[in-house]
Order: sequence, then C-alpha cells, then structure tokens
Amino acid sequence: MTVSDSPQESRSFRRLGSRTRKISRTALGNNIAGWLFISPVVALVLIFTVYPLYRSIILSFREWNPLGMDDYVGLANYAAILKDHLFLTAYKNALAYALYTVVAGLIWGVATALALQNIKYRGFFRALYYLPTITSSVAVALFWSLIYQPDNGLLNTVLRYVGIEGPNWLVQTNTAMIAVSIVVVWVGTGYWMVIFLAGLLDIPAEYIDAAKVDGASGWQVFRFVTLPQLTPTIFYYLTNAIITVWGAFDIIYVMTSGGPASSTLMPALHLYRMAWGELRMGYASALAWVMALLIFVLTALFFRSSNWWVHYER
Amino acid sequence: MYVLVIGGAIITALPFLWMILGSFKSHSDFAHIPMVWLPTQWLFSNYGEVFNLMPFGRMYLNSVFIAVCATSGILITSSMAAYSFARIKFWGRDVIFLLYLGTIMIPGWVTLIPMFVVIKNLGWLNTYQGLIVPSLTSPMSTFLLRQFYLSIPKDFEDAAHIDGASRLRVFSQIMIPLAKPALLTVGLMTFMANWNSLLWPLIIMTKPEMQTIPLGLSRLALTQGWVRVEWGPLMAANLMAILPIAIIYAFLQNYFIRGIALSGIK
Repeated sequence: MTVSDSPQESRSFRRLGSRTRKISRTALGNNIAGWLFISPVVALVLIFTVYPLYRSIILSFREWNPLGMDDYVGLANYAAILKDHLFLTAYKNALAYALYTVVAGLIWGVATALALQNIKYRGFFRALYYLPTITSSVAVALFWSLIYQPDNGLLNTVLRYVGIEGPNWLVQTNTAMIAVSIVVVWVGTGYWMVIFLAGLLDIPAEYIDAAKVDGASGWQVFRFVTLPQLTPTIFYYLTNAIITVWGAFDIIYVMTSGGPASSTLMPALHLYRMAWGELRMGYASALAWVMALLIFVLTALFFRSSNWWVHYER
Repeated sequence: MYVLVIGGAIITALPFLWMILGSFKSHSDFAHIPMVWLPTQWLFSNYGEVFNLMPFGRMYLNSVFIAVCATSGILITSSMAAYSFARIKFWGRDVIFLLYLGTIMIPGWVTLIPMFVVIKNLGWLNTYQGLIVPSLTSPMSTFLLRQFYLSIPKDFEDAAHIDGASRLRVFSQIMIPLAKPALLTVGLMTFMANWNSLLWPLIIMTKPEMQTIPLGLSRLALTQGWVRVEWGPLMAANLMAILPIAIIYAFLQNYFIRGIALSGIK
C-alpha cells in the first residue's frame, strides 16, 4: 500500500487494497455541494423574508388593498399615524401591558426559581410549571375567560371566600388589561423559572457562603449577592420583553379583541385590524415599520444602558 | 420554600383542572350562581357536541397534516443547511450564515402583509401549501443544528470519505442518524409552534374546512359572542386541542424544556 500526496487536490487518501477510489475535495466540489445543501433555505428566505421586507417598504408608501387599489401616496401613511387615536391608545396600552407583565413576571419568575432551587422532585415541578408555556394560547385564553367570569367564575368565587368582591375582569375598562397581563405572566411561568433557575445555579456558592459568614441576613444575601449576580439574566429577560411586548396578539385577540372600549388594544392587534379588517394594507405596512423602528431604537438604547447596571463575572 | 412551590404548582395546575371539570358541566351548571365546583352530571355528550358546532374532525386532520409536513420540511431543509454551514467549506459560507441568522432580527409583523400578498398571488390562499411553505424558514433551527454538527468530531466524516462515500451519502447515512437528539428537539419545537399557531392560519385560511384547531376554537368563541357561548363543549374542544401536545410532552419533557430554553438564548 502506498501513501500518495497529490498537491492538486485539497485532500487525498491512502489506497486501501481493492478500494482504490481517491475522493477529491476540490474547491469547486465543495462550492457546489455547499451551495446545493443550503439552496432550499436560501430560496425560502429570499422569497418569504427578503422579498417581503423590500415589498413592505414599498407598500408603506402606497394606499393598497387586495381588491386592486394601488396608489402612490408618499409619506401620507406615516403622517396619518400621528393623527391616529387608536395608534396612541395601542401604544399607551402596550406600555401598561409591559409594566404589568415585566414586573409581575420578574417577581414571579425569580420567586419560583428561588423556591425550586433546593427542593427535591425539582424535575416534577419543573415539568408541571412548563405546562402553561406549551399550551396553545387560544386554549389558555378560553379557559381563563371562564375563570374570569364575574358572578360564578373561579377567581371571583375564591376571592369572595376571603371577603373580596372581584370586579368584572374582562368587561371593566380599568381591569381588563390587568386581567390579560395576569394570564400572560401565568403562561410564562415555567419558561422564566427555568431561565432564572439557571442564572441562580450559576452563582458560585462561595459568594453566598462568604456573605453568610460575614453575618448577612437572608434578605441581605439576596440584595447584595444574588441580585447583582442575576443581572445578566434579568438583562436577557428585559431585552426579550422590549422585543416581544408590541407583538402580543393571540391571547388578546381571543380574550378581549382589544377589549372593552379599546382598553386592551395593542399595536399588533391594531395592525391586524387595519390590514385585514379595514383592508388598508399600505397604512398597516407603515404601522409595522414604525413598530420595527421602535424596537430597534429601544433595544439599542437598552444595550447601551447595560454597561451601567449589568454585572458580568469574569 | 415548599409552601411557595406547592402554591405555585396549584396556581399553575388549577386552570387546567378547571377546564377539564368544565368540559363535563351542563349549561345550567354554568348559569348557576353561586359557582358550581363539580359537574352535577358528568356530561360526556359535550365532547360529541363539539363536532356539531364546527368541523372539528376535519380541523384536527388539518392541524396534524400541516404540523407534520411543516416539521418534516424544516428538519430536512435545516439539517441540510446546518451541515453545510458547519462542515463544508464553500465560498461565502460565513457571510451568508450571518445574514441568514440576521433575519431573526426582523419583527414578523413587517413581513406579514407582503407574505400574505405573495401567497395570494400564488393562488395559495386556503391551501395546505400556503400555510406550510412560508413556515419552512427557520433560522433558529438551522442555528441549533449547526451548533450540534460543529460539535461532532470530523473523524466520522473522514472514515466515510475513505470508504468512498459521496457527500450525500455521508449526510444521509451518518450525519442525520447522529443528530437524532438534536433533530428530535428541533422537531418537537417546530411541531408545537405549528400546532399552536394562530396568526398565520388566521390570515391564510378563511374556509372552515381548511382551518386549524386554534383557529377553529377562536372562531367558536368569537363568533358566538361571550354571552351565548356554550362553555361545556368549548372546554371539551379546548381539552381535545391541547391533548396531543400534552401527551407528547408527558413522554418527552426534557426535550421540550431543553428546546425552549435553547431557542431563547439567541
């Protein structure tokens, strides 16, 4: 048997007895194979992501509907946004939604993670806590609507046992957004618990032990050791919130449809209504770009701010 | 600490239990004030009633077919691309990969309307392919699978090359079987996302017989109006909608949890 090295080929192989085929890996062969293998996903992304992205910009400068209307209107759509009361309402609601869900979700996620840190059967509880996350949001919206029934719903009945007269959650304008937010936090239970749990387990035990040795109370340990160590995880949590809050659709669509007197109207729902309700797709495209721009700017600012408060371990 | 954990478990599980109990209650149970905890009669007929209220069987078929097709499609195309990005040296590889990954940054709402127009122009509204084909783009799946392939030692491929296998054979007979755990994780994520998907079917499918389960359920609730809604059959439909994912989840929890956590770490 001989070993041959052929400089013209990028790889060559020993001849092994009767199997003497040399597999050549030429640059051209690699290129063809490589491109061939990625061709399906590239084609798909070109047709269904890149081209629509380009079309969407064009659309935002036109008045367009599927029934044939197609007129160039310049910046008229964007100007109309500024005068759109529903647009302002939607974003105002989105801020309320963000406030409720982020704060409640953070507390709930960290609390459950802390609780689960040191107990037995962690796997069982983790699996249980994940159920809401994997459940269809339509299903979630439906059984929570049942729970929120004013006179004979589960929530108000339980509240009555402790003497509280619960409101008509989904029908009163002052409670509808809160009701929706509770559901959203509930859905995220398992997901965020796992994320925060991972963050907690990453904290070196020596830090906590050192603090205890120095006489720190449970709360002090949390405030000065655990919390700073959790800031990267919290950063990820908040970034995710900034990006996804505006696109919240499913639960609101089913539970309240923008709800009593637009008190739960959100940007995504508003966009959907403009596009498929009123068939103003040019205007809706402009709305979509405004949303995208907002996400971009907020994310960039937030990343900048992270230098001041996120504590990375070296 | 256990108090919090048990409390959390109750809060998490109670809505589900409530849904199951509700699926057996009668209309009068739901109208009764104060609230009825257990059904006065266990109405299994609610489950049959679901099929009168909407073409539920057909919707189930639609959901299954679409989810299975979309998942297989994504697995095949993503694993091919992932292997190529991971192991084949071709011109422009890294730039294209970064660009492809970059498309994740684009909020879905921006491309939604033009995508709808594309589908409409192709005549694919109210068709299975209209729903399946656009959902085949999944940079996240490709990313995850590429990570996986990067971690496989090159020896496997080298041995195959020496034995005279073509690229395609190497891929199909070695790379794919090796990637089974990763493929399973990605497959589960994709199946679940497709099964639960509401927005895209909402836009594409207007005919009831083409609709998927989440869509059908939402129609049932929204068109009846909340005052007149039949909670019993609605909860029964709910349970049947959740069941497939719940069952798969019961057996493959770890894959689910790992998959969801992985796809979150962008």
